[in-house]
Amino acid sequence: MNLRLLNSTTTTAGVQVVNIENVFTTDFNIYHIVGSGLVGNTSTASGVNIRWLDQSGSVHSTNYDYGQSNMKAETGYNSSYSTSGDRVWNCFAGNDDGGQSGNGNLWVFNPCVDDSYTYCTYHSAGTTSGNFRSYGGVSQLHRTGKVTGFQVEVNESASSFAAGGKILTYGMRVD
Amino acid sequence: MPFGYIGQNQPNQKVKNSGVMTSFEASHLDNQGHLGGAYELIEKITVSDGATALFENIKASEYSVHILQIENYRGASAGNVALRYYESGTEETASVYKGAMEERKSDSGEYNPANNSANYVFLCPAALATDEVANVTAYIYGAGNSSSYTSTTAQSVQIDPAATPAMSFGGHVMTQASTVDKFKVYNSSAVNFSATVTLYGLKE
Repeated sequence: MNLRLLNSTTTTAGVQVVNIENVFTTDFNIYHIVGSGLVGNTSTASGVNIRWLDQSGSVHSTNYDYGQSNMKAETGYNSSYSTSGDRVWNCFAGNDDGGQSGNGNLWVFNPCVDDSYTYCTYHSAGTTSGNFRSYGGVSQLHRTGKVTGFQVEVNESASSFAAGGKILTYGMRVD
Repeated sequence: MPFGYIGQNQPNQKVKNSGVMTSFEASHLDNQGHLGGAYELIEKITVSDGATALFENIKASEYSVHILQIENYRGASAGNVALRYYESGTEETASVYKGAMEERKSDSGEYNPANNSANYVFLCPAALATDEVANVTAYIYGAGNSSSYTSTTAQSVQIDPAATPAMSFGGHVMTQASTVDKFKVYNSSAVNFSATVTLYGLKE
């Protein structure tokens, strides 16, 4: 597949956010982000999510629309959605300590096209508090303007990442 | 630091990705290991009425993420498209796998299998009958990471039941932090199957 590796980042222990800045450019319109082994560093279950960054490195904390299926190993599935979200929830599922990792992949469309919203699809798998979850969803940042990077984060204040998780970003080549 | 066409210290690519590169740019990317695609072929196994597709060298230390593609899987009798992991060369057969998927069918049927104590990863939720076919793409995360569970996202298209196309998606986990060193694709009913199974590593 014509994916060109643009960025490879490894998590360090104890951080709650990992910023990947200036990775989206006008060179590509479609990007693939893959997160693997995003284990928690504390015994606090948390979602592992993405927020988009603008050209100044500031976090977009509003204007997220999303809809997703929540598949659960121990019980029936359900759905969740919002037109006023604050992040791309669970795009790397969730994590906890003891090897319980968040993982997933996203396709991101038009982040650096001035007059377009930023869209993504995602598919994730992870474990929190011993419970397995897989999520499949879509999201849009319903505002225009360039998105040039992203932030992978845990939303629980008592949570953080362990060392060794991998975040890979690719651009879809046209050659 | 993003990788650029024209220099290691350049923050972004400076050439529109039209597919046209100078020899210098191609050489530079090649030297960095970034010329070419990101799916790096590890092994392709063609199974013709056989019991397993066993990947014995998954290069777990080189790749955080593996891509497994299964084409035209046909079992000799009913059973799931199944995946198991090996740790230190030993197949993990205990009920340490969990998973959940959704299946949507062209006849409006729905199936939402979930298993909190499975002894394999079910890559396709349908228990395919003879001559029903499945095609699967799965991402396998963290196989070589001894500090992380090994997890999977999978999506598939299959005929389930006869003359009824269906799609499914979902995920799975093996609930122990360990280094996985082999993958085995087989039929959950331990019958023979035919398929082409290809394993890639995702360049990092």
